[in-house]
Amino acid sequence: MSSGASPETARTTPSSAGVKRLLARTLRHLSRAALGALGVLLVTFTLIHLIPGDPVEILLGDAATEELVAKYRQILGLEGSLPQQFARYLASVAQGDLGTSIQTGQSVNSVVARTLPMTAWLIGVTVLMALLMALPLGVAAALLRGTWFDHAFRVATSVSLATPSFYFGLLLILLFAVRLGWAPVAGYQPGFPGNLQYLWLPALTMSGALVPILARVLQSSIAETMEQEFVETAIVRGLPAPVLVWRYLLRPSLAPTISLLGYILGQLLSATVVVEIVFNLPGMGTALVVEGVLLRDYPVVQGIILIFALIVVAVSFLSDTVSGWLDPRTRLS
Amino acid sequence: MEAESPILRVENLCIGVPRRRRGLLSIVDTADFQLRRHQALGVVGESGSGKTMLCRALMGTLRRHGAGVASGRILYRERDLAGAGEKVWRRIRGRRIGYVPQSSLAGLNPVLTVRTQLTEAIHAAREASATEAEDQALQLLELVRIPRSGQVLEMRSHELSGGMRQRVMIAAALAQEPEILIADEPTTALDVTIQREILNLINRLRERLKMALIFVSHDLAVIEEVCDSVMVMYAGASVEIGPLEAVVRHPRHPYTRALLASRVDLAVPGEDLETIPGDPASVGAWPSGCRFRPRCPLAEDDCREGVQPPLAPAGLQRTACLHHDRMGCDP
Amino acid sequence: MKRRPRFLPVDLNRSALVGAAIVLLVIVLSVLVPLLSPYDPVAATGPALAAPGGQHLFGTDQLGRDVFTRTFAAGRLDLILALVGVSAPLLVGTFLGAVLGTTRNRLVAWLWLMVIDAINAFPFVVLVIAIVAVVGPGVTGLLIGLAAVNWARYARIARSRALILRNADFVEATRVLGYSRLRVLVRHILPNVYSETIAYGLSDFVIVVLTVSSLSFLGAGVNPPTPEWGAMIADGRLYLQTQWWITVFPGLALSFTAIGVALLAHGVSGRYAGEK
Repeated sequence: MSSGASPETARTTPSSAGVKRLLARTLRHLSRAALGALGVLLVTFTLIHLIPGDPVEILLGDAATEELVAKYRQILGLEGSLPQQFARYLASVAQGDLGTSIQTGQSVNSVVARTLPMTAWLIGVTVLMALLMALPLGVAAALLRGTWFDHAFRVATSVSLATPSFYFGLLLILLFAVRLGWAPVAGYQPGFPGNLQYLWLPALTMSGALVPILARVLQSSIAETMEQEFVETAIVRGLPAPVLVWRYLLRPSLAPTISLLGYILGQLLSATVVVEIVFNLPGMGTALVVEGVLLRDYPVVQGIILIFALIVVAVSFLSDTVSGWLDPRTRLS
Repeated sequence: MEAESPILRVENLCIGVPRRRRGLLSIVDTADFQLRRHQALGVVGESGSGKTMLCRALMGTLRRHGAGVASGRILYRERDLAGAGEKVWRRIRGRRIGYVPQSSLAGLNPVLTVRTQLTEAIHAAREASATEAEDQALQLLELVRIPRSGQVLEMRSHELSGGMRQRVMIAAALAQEPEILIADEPTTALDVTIQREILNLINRLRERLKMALIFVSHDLAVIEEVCDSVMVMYAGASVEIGPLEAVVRHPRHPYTRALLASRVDLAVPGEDLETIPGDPASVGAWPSGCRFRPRCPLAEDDCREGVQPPLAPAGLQRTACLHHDRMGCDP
Repeated sequence: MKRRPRFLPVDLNRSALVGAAIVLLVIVLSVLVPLLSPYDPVAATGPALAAPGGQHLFGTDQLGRDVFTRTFAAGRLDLILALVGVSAPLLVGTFLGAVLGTTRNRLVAWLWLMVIDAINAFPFVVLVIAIVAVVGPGVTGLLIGLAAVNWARYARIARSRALILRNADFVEATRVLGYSRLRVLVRHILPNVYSETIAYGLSDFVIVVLTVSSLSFLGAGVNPPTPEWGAMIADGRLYLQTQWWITVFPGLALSFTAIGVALLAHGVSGRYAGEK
């Protein structure tokens, strides 16, 4: 078996043009992400500032004297017009300063530093857990279409989607923590791997909302792929079953699921807030509710929202990149 | 003597889709033909005549399209595969039957490189080391006349032109050195010039590799380029089958004659193209008796009776028309 | 030959029917609860923490209030809140989206679109919480928060729909006839756009009802002692290990309602509800 072409030309890896294209794409994604972050920041800032009622007067209540109001305005950066306030806020954020809490006098940076790692862990564990469950479920539901499994799958995912995470979390605590004693009822100790003991039940709670959506999208995406001519071709070529399932069913179907994951992860931050409260976890969600809503700590709310916005942007950037890697078709657009 | 015995014999094949509580919906019936080594059989018919389903039956993939063989036999080297399970088919596919699909864009897996798709086909057919498989992949690309084969090996389907894609599809089908190559409208989506190149390629490869070919098309002109015999299908039934020359020169079925008369490539400028009156019979609503009857100029009362007439010898070919003797001998 | 998707059309009607039955049951029980139950939803009417039984079908809570009465009194409030939380953004968002879809002012449309996309990309509940944090917890804050965030989703859907309609033949035809842009918008585009967003509104109802109860659970929505599903579940949390009924019954009512509406929405639009 001799071949005319040399193996070198055959085994060329991505050319320099390919690298350039990759770089351009990454830059485009990054700039879009940065623009998105700016947009979110602008929107939340405006929403918070356009809300009826003067936050300072609400905050001070009956104690509001003219002097006090003026002083708090200065502390909160509420002087001047809205664009001026926004510019000032942006400038300080750009220098890495998120402001100061009006309740505790702590810097918002320190609040974030205290709470972000736990929340990041929770999200990470959740994503891993959800993918581990959703992938086999989605594949099975697609391959067993129309069988009892498919019907059970549909009922289970419907019920799961209709169950709010705070309720689901309480039921899980009742079962796994109280009855079976497999997890602490609440609380958190940082430090891997010990923290997993505290995190697996909250992560399972969030998966309750995440897995049904991912698995369903995967199911319909695989079902769509199965209709494709290349699957027929692959079957006729007599490819072995593992190759068929992974290369011809799963990989072409994965990209939509991963891009969706990027989007839902943003939405998942909502569940983070609720689940942190249910499980008494000292994360950003708890800080938002306790210090933000209950103590009306305005700068803390703004700072946490900003971090959330950055997480949303980072995650969608990441999922775009991964799904582009998985499916070259999406790189075209 | 062995060379003349057919490698594939399809006898009275009926394909149907089971319907809930309403029995079987018939899509193809009385498909009847044989294929000898090195023979090139064209299958021609309008869309909906059951050509694609017939191909699927020959590849054992009916089930995933919700259909199945209702009756009849698919004799592959004297072995009946009509009711065969996945296990049996897995041994037949690839090594014995190669497939070039209708649409080349959807026929290649978009997320895999050409290299992966060629080498995995090679590995599925026989034992080969990675280097051997890769060398052969390169040879295949050269066989189908792809320039810069080393680069193309690393490409994915969206980076290839339509003609290149179809060449890769053919290369992948040939990778397994099949005895029979099934090509379902392989050139329909291509430009005319590319179409010609691909047809030439198929001709050359068939010569060289001594394959049998089943070439499906709605276009008789294309079939004339590559085939030596032809089967005409109408509404799920074989209506005429025979050597290409004979069928084209002396059609023995009114539908074949109508197909020949409506050919664009033979049209006389300025004259209206002939068209077939009426609409094609649709699946599930076939008329009684001969299915072409409502559109047929030769129809008589006896065409109305019973089921679709079986193929009967007439001249060099076989036809399903009861009144073929009344057809003039010119097309 | 393409196989017809299996979930059409038999399943569709069945799921819509089941969904409608569930929703109807919850509505009837919520409306009729003052007639069905002799108890006051906010006053102690029996011994505290009594187990479910003859006197109190769902038992009583830690203050001796009847859980059955409270569950369905809560149902009324939750349904009304969700209805307002859906319809106000639906009306405003759809109109805005339709205008954005038809306007020729590219820059303004682009700016609005950026705002809309930013809101939509952001976690829904978190944004509502942030607004409630500023406005102050309570029903008013909750509704303002919902309206301020939820309109953007309707605007997105309405805009894409309007963009398609703008180029549709019949709209093109009206323009040729010399109808004013406003008339085309109001008479021809808006009705079509609304039919789309209303279909979405049904599945959005699920999300809003879950959001309302989530926020009340967190203490950022309906304040005690007003009965509300999320608030009741938060109340019963401490007694979860021993007096499960305080938590479980309102939770079941909530899930049941959400499933009913989701089924109805799925049946009506042919899509799964809750997949945002």
